[in-house]
Amino acid sequence: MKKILIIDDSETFVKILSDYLPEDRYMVLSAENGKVGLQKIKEEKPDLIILDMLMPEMGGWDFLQEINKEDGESRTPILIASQTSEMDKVSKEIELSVQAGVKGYIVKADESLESILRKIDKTFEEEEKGE
Amino acid sequence: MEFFLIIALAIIALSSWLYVLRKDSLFRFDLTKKKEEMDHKMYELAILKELGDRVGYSLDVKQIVDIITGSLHQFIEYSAVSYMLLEPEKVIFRVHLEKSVNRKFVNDIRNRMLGSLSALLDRDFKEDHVEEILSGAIIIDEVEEPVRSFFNIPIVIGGKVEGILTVAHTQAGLYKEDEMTILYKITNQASQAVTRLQEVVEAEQKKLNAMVESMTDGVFMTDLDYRIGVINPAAQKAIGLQDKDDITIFDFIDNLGGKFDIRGRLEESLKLNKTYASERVLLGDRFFQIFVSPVKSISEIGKEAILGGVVIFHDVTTEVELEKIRKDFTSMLVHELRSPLDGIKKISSLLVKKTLDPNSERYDEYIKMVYQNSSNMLDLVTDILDVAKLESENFEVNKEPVDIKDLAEERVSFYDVSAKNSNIKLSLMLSEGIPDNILVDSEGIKHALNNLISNALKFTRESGEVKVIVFPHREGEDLQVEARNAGYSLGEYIPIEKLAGKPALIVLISDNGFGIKESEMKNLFGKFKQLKQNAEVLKKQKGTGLGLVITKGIVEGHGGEIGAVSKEGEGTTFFFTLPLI
Repeated sequence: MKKILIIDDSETFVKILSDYLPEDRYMVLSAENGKVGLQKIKEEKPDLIILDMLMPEMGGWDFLQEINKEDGESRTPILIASQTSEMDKVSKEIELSVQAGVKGYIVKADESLESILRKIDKTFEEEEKGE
Repeated sequence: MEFFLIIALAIIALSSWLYVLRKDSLFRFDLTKKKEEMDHKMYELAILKELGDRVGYSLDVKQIVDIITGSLHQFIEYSAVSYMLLEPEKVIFRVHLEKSVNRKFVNDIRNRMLGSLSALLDRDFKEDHVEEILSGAIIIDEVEEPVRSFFNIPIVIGGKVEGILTVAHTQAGLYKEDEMTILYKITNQASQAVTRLQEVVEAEQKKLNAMVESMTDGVFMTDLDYRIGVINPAAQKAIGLQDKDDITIFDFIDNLGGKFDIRGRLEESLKLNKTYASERVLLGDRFFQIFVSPVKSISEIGKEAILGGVVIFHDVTTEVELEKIRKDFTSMLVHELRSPLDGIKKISSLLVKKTLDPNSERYDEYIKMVYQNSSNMLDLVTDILDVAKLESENFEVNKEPVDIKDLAEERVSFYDVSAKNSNIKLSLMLSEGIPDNILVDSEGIKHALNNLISNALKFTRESGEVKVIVFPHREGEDLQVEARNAGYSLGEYIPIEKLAGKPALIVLISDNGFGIKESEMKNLFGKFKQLKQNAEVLKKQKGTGLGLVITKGIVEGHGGEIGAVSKEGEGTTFFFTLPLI
């Protein structure tokens, strides 16, 4: 059983995605912003993080910067899930993203729940291959 | 008797004739003198005009003296006319020969002129380098005639002796006082004209300098060899060299680095006679648009001559910041709309696939989420439309008789639930004497109260308090006292200024929350600050924060006034007025 942490302020997105992900394989936790997310990482040690960018209190970019400040070589893999408008920034901040452990991107409005699930499965497969 | 008469008549006739004769000769004499004077005057005028035409604003003394000496032969005879001008490193000695003389003659003039200059300026000129320029007839040493007539006229500009003008002749006793006076007058007048011109130009120069100095845009001007002639502090500041003296083009080349090829652009601009406007260039922490233009002067024959280049550093930082705020604001709006829309889409796709059991709890939850998301979106779209209406000044206020007490009660009870959830005490304080019906736009006022009450709840801690206070302001009464009597307790002065004693209804939404920073209080309702704040607010708080902009529009649409007072850590009070009558 893998632990997935969804850091997103959209209750709807968190609810639908956690309902959709197969219960027998994934256990889903959530945090409404980056700050709560950082705390949950320490407490729950998730295997994958799905990270929204625009959030109150602490947004995705600040969250990635915080992750980079922390020691530790093996970072929790991250999938960025955001709006297309934030994707411009992704290409500019690619170094920060890679360093922080970003493995892929989910463009929320363009991708169905099935496609999100496929991306999650694929990320875990690649992680296993890598190890 | 008759004889006497004849004699008398004869005498009269004779004396009359004599008188006429004498008068005629006098008249003739007068006329010649007048004509001469006229000629001199005309000559003076002609010279001054020529000076004006040819010299323009050049203020070149050498050129002026050249013009005088060049036309002198019209009224005075000479073998040689010459002038000496003092320059920083040398003395210019220019001689024009009307006829050939020997070398000794020229040397004699030269020594006499140097002697006069020494006497005038009380300085020895023997050591100075004298640059001699000869023109006109050639020097023939066989001619053995010395200087027999000679006179000097000092050239004085602005009270300072700048040089000396001399006429010399091989004939003796030529120059009378008359001629000397005339030449003196001409030289003097030319000098005065130049002095005046110099003063005017200096005054203009001072004005121009002051203008250039105080310009917020950086400006500097170069000649054709890119030497900087004029530069203002803003230009030096742009490249971070505000304290350096003697700025050269290389300072600009070095400090602009690869960001802007100033040398190349200047060259291009001068060569093609075209203005160049750059893209945004970031220098230090400021953005500039750099303009490079040729500096042209147009001569009297209408020909253009390029004198050099001018470079302007126009600070566009504010525009860039504003653009960023707008961009941030737009992307925030897009996010706020897209997020619920995406939720609705994902839920409806599940419904379409019929993967949900209509009788399940999850089904109900999803339907509620669709409802909530679409309501949020609708609210946001309404807000955006309201702001757009405000901006295009198409915001309509539909006044109708409304009982404001009922309306306030209804709004307060509507927010009571969320206040209780946050453990905040929300109360309504209605004073005596509020009219039962006033003419307002009920939807608008409802909207304004919603915005202000929800804001107050948002920025108040748990177990805090939010008071909605409504009271009538009576003509001639002290509003601050009325407010205290009505229940206002923050203690800060309520700055309602536009009432001018007229009766109005005052609405206060007073909380004991975090308060607003003084820096943020300024322009709280200002559009740009508002936008800037919104982008920041989003990071901390959900929502677009367009509420205050809209509320201000509604209140002002009623002819009222809106504002806020705050004390950090103690609370904030928003107020608005609704004029009665």
